[in-house]
Amino acid sequence: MTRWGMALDLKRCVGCQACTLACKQENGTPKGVFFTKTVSEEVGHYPNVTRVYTPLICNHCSDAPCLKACPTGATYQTDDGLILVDDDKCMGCRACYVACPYKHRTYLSKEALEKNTWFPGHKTPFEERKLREFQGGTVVKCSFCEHRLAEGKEPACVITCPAVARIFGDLDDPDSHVRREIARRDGYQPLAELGTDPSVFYLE
Amino acid sequence: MKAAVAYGLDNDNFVMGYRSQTEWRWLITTAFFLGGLGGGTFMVSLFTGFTVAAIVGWCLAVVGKGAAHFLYLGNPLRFWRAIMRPQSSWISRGILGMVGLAVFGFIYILIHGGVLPGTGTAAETVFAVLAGISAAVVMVYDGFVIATPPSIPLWHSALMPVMVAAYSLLGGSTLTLLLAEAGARGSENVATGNLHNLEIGLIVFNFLVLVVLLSVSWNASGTARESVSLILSRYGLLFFGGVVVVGLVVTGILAASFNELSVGAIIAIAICELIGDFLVWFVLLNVGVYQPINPRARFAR
Repeated sequence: MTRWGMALDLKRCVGCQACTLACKQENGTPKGVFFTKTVSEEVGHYPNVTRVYTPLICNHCSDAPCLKACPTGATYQTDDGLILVDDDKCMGCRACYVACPYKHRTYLSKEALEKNTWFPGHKTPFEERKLREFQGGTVVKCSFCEHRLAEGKEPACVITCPAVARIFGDLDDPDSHVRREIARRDGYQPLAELGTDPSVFYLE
Repeated sequence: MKAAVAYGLDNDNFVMGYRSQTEWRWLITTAFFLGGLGGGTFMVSLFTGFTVAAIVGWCLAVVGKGAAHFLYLGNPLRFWRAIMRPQSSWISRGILGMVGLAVFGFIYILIHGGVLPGTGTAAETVFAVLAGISAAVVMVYDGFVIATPPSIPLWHSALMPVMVAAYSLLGGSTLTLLLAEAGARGSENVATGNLHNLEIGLIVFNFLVLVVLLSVSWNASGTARESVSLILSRYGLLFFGGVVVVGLVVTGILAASFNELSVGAIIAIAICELIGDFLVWFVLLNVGVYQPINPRARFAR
């Protein structure tokens, strides 16, 4: 059985946000909505201070709290481990948003979808085309670019990363690149103590 | 590499930090408040046999809470889907409880009120039990909704459903006292003698639960401590002034001298208690804080 997963290499990430932009371009997410992004943090003490970057993305947890919290069945898990949202079933209660410990879900209000465009008063042709894929009043999230996986391609953020800081593959395949890197570099899951079993690992 | 020890409240900028819960605010506060108050009032009415309280509780829990949830939903016409996953979702279980209260509670009210035949028979008892179970679910499920997911450490506490149940009963006994003593009593002989003692007990209990919840959270994790810090600072006036002083202390003092009180004072008790009841939800929902997702933090311990 396939279980899609990702390893995020913290040593390689340079915080360029290319993944953030690639995701927005691929998925056409509305203004202010990010399925993935890289956050920065200043660490250390003067004079030894540096800035470090941490890429964030939906962890597609095996034991996902958002899946359990969803009362409608709109959030579901595919056979290959992806946690997806069926827009047609979502009633917009935002229980999944509150339940996700990583806060990787975003609520799209109908008003925001219509009015919160890049240029006040009108949509660009790109927005006209892409925003049609979203439904107002629902919760949206990263799908690991499910539509690309179906075509045998990797997620947009992975192929775009210039530092090769994102490794994508099958966690259930012991010979996959992602699995070998996690094993070799002692990869670990974010907030693993919560018991959600994320499919995203960090490499230090 | 050593991670930074202290984070700010970042709110989803591109900086590592604590992040606030920003979606469940006024309408959910109102829904949770009305659900607890209505469920508690209906539950108390089952023991006092007070039909007016049963009707008011039913209306608050089914109509009031239902309307607040309905207004909140992004796609309200899909509300019926909320019962699709009772095996894992506390919202689904709660909605089933509301449906049960709507149906069984309505039939119970009709029988108990003499509109339908069967007053004093086994049928009334059966519907009272079914309605009571449903009301109990409505009273407490909001506590489980916020306590079950591990996302927000302050909420992820076994004390939360206990506190929610106690606040529901407190609101229910207060509203029953108000209805019974301030005019709605009518021809019914309502046994409210012990309700104010129950109220005093619940006030003390809720105060202790709040103290334990905050002290445990303060020492549990940095994120829970951030939530408590928000309660003590940004929401300090609402919490200490509204929840503690008005909602518990003033209500307790008034309830302790209940036998000497006028109708006006009883109304004052009810208003104070209900303000505290509402504000405890408002404050708790607004101070929900998520942990920073800092993978490097494990090296800092």
